[in-house]
Amino acid sequence: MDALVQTQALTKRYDNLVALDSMNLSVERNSIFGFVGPNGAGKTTSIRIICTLLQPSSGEAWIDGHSVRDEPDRVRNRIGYMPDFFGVYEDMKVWEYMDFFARCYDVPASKRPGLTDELLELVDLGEKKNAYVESLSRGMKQRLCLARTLVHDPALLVLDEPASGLDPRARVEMRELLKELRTMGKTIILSSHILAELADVCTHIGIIERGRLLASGRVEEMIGRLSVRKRVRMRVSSKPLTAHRVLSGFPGVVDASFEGSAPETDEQPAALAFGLTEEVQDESAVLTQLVSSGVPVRAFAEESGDLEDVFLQITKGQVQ
Amino acid sequence: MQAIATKELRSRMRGGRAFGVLTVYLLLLSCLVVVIYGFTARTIANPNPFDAGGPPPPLGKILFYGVTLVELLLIAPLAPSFTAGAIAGERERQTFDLVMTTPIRGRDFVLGKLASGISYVLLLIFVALPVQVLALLFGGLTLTELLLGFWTLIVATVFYASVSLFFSSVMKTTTTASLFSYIVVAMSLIGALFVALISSIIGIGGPLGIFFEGPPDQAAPKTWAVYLALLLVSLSPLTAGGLTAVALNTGEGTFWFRLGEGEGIPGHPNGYFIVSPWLVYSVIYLGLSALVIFLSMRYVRPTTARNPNNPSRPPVLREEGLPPPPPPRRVDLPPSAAQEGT
Ligand SMILES: Nc1ncnc2c1ncn2[C@@H]1O[C@H](COP(=O)(O)OP(=O)(O)OP(=O)(O)O)[C@@H](O)[C@H]1O
Ligand SMILES: [Mg+2]
Repeated sequence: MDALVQTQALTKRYDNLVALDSMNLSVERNSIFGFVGPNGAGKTTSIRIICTLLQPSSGEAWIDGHSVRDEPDRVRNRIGYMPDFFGVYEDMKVWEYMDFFARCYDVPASKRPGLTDELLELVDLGEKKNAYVESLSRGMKQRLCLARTLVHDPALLVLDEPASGLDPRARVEMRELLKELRTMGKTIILSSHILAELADVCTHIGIIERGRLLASGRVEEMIGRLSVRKRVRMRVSSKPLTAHRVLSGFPGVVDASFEGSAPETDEQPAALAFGLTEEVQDESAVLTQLVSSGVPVRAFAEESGDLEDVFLQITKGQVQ
Repeated sequence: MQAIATKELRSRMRGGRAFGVLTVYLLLLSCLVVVIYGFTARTIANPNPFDAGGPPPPLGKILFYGVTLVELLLIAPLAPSFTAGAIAGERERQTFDLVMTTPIRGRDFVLGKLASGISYVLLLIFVALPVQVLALLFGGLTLTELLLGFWTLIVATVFYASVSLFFSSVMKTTTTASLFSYIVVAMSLIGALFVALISSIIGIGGPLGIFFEGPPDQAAPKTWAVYLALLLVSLSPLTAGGLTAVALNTGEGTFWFRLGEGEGIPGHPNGYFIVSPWLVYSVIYLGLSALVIFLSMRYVRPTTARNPNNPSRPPVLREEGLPPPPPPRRVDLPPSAAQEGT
């Protein structure tokens, strides 16, 4: 598959803190890739490296085949970047703001006025063309910044927490806007620490924690792995290892694990938990399988779980 | 560069501030002219009894030097105020990263900021020009003096603005950048007093034996001491301008002259060959300006392309040969021309 963004062992160190640890990432063309991770995971760090604002300590990143270290200008011409926190110039009108950035990207003077109008229309700020930037609301500034990222018609949009600070309605609008941009052929990378927010808009998701990319893939696959509709907790009076083996082999069961430390022998009692994907309509099939394998099941209860729980569980489980 | 300069000037000229500063500045200068005129007219009418004699300097000269001095003192704090915040301010307001993700070159960014900062101060110098031309009409002032005074102001503006821009690119906040800029500007002006003191010691008295050679009764300054004094004097627009004025008014050459020629200085019958202080001052100030501007460009875009002529390629594209490898890039392309795709 043709990847627009590729990274290889991308690493960023700050003194003795590893902010980004050998990240290998690949973002397909015309996809919407969501970075999810808790605060301090390294989302902004990787995004800033991709946007050539930060030099990696080691490793490489390529955008459209161009190296961020060797050809930063080519990379910059292909990327529209919206930071997590950004300011706007005071004393500037909306159209002047757009015009300024169009000039920075060497957009020819004849194209600039039409382009400005078109993009402001796209983000629904057409009426604010002659307003001062500082008079815009937070959400409008966010949309203006998004319009700004598009002035040079980049192949890739990199948006760091585009939904932060937006009210629910504006979030929905932002999501619709991103989908529209995708139909226009853009590839989008965005970050968030709210998985549910990404699941709706993204085609691909990468989970990052403490600088490491824990998992990444198509949203459906990830939902299969992550977005478990049900979680089940169970206790066995013995044969925990057998139970674990049965669960792990059962199609549709994910993340079977012991609660607490894993038992050493097959004779001990133990508590287990596992997730069920859509594939399994009725968890009684799992129970039947367990019982027929001779596992003495003492308790078997469904636990309500949502995306967030699973996300937390996965990230917790794999970080040492 | 044009993008930055246009944007900066647009915001600067918007609102009343720019014109407020201009008005206050012109009012100050006009008051000064009136005051100088009043005082000089009186002094000429009632010559100072302590004056050693000789004709008092013509009104035109006093007016011109007075106005130029005050202009310099007004420009000194103004120039940094327009550039010290130019880059640090963008960092503080979190607009810097947005500009830096565009392919704009460090050179264009810095020069754009500098041009817009300097142009406003130049405007101030230009609007005061009629006052100086007025001095020319009062008589006694030569065109050379007028032009050199004007030039001294411009060089000082360029240097103060460049130094402030440099601090703005290095420091994180506008406050620290301004602080350092004002320290440099103050040294350039107040330092002049110390310089005057030192050079007077070197040039006049004999207490510092090392600067003099020959027996005590016919001691003469050593040649290097004279040049050291010239260098020190040229470090400040005040002393450089002042001494150039003195030289011009005693009939010395505009660009160079012989100091103490025919005064029978022992061992130096022809005096010392001196390049006029304003020229040394210009070379020092413009040279330093060029240096700090260059450094600012480096600071603004610290990350330079590691190996632009042989860029690394992603492994998949290289191994599978998909898509076809890009044609070899011409080495002599300037970065701007190389920006558009392969
Ligand atoms: N300039 C810096 N100096 C030192 N450490 C830094 C610097 N910038 C980031 N870090 C560290 O790198 C790690 C990753 O930070 P990063 O900003 O990438 O996280 P993030 O995933 O974007 O978090 P958030 O959700 O809070 O935005 C953090 O531990 C942070 O403290
Ligand atoms: Mg962040």
